[in-house]
Amino acid sequence: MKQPEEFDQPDEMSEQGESFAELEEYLTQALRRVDAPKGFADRVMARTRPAPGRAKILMMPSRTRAWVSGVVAATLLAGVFAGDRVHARRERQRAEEAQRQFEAGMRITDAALEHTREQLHRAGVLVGD
Amino acid sequence: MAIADDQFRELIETHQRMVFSIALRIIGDYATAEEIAQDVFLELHRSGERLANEDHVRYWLRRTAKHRAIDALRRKVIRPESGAEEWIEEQHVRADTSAIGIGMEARLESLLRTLPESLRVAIVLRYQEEMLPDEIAGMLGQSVASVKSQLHRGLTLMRRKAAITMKEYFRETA
Repeated sequence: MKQPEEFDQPDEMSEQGESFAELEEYLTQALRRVDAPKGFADRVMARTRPAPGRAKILMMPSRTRAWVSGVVAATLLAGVFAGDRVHARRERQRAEEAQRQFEAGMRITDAALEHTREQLHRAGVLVGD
Repeated sequence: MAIADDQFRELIETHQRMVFSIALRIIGDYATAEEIAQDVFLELHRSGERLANEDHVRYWLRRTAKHRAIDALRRKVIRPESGAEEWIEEQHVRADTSAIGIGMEARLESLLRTLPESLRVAIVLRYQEEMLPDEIAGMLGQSVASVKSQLHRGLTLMRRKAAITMKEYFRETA
C-alpha cells in the first residue's frame, strides 16, 4: 500500500485503489453544492444597510463627528459640575439654618433660666451666687 | 471604495451556493451555515476594495467560509440536531436529481460529519469544491504532503465506517 504522501489521485491507489475510487465517485455526487436558502441575498443586502438611528451619526464627516462628540462631552461635564455646585449650596444653607435654630434655642433657654433665677431670688432662695 | 449595491448582489448570487455549501458541510447545521455564509459576505462587503478580481474573490470566499465554519464548530454554538433534520429535509427536495439516491447522500453526509475537523475540511474542499491538493495546501497554509495525508486518512476512515454502516454500497476491505 502506498504511503499517504504518495497519494495523488484515486487511480494511483494500489491495494485500496478500487475502493477509494468508488468512494470518491460517491462523494463527488453526494457533496455537490446545494442552493442557499431562499431570500439569502436579500437578507445579506439588508444587513449591509446601517440601522436608521445610527445612520445619521455614522454618515457625518469625521471632523464634525469629533466636534459633536466634544460638545456632548462638555455639556455632560458642565451638567455634572453645575449639579455638584447646587448640591453644595443646598448643604451649606441647611447647615446655616441649623446653626440659627440652635442659637435661637440657646437664647430662649438662657432667658428662661434667668427668669427662674430672679423669681427664686425674690423668694429669698439664693441659687449659684 | 465600497462595493456598489448591484455589484455586491451579483457577487452574492454568483457565490452563495459555494459559500453556503462549504459552511454547511463543515458545520453540519443548516441555520448556522446560513449565519456563517451571511457573515462571510458581510466581511467581503467591508473589505471589497481589497479584492482585485474574480479568482481572488472566490479564493477569499472559500477561505473565509472555511475559517468561519471552523470557528463556529469550535465554539459549539450549534443548536442540537434540529438543524441536521432540517438539512435532511432539504436534501429530499433534490432527490430526483441525485444519481446515487438520497439515502446514500444523507448517509455519506452523516459519515462526513463524524470525521475530525481537519480531515472534514480537506474532503469538502477536494470533493465539493473539486480543488486539487496543491490548491488546498495553498489555502490552508499547509504542505501538499500534509493535505494528501489528510485526504488519505479521511477517505480511509470513511471507507472503514461505510464498510460497516453501508454494507449494501461498499465492500469491506481487509
